[in-house]
Amino acid sequence: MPTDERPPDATAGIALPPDLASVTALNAWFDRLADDLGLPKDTAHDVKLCLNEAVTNAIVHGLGGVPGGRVSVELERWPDRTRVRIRDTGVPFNPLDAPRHVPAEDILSAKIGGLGIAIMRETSSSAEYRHAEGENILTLSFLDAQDGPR
Amino acid sequence: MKLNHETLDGGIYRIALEGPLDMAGSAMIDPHFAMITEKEKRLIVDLSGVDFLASIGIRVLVMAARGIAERGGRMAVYGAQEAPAKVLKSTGVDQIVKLVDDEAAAIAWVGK
Repeated sequence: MPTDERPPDATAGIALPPDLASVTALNAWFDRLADDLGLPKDTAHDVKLCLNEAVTNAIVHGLGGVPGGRVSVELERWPDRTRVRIRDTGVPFNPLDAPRHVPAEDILSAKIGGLGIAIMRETSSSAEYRHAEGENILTLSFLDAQDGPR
Repeated sequence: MKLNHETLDGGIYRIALEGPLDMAGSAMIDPHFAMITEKEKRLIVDLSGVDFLASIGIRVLVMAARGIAERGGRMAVYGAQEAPAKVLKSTGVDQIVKLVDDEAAAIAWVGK
């Protein structure tokens, strides 16, 4: 992604406690925001999917049982791209370091884990991770499809 | 997330899901699927009411399909909307969980 940046046209954010109701709250927030911003349908779905993967992982793996843990999402929107930052105060973990998920050949050898990370890698246009000030910070960018649905 | 179920002719168990298969939706259906995979050998899952499918929801489906396959049974999912179908295909899950277009195809496949 270019580092010379115009300021975004719109920004929004939400902070969530690490419990089961939070992803429902995230999705209600995002659906409304996508509508308000007029996000293209494909972009909206891709961003929502990745937010679900990142926030679910943070809640389930990173924050499990940690009192006072938080996940927060920031969204920035430009005319043709969207950037989201998912921050969590959980166990330091870089999802981009995880080994590539290899699809199983048949149902009996299917392994369940790693799918969420694979989805984020494949669905986003770019992904970056850093750990700073006690937080995992995952930044995902999404370019709008240029010529109709992908 | 709503889950409806019925037993069809030939002992085929049909589950119809409605709503998002996000973290909360998946948590809601998980106990029912866990129970069903211990009991049933022919399961079809109608996804036409699922407007959003995340990997946590895929996990429920994959675990059910595996549990049933381990017992010598068959499971098929059908009626997936565009975005969920795309996720099932891009992750390769459609190669391990039988994905068909409609109920007739699902019944035909699990009935074999």
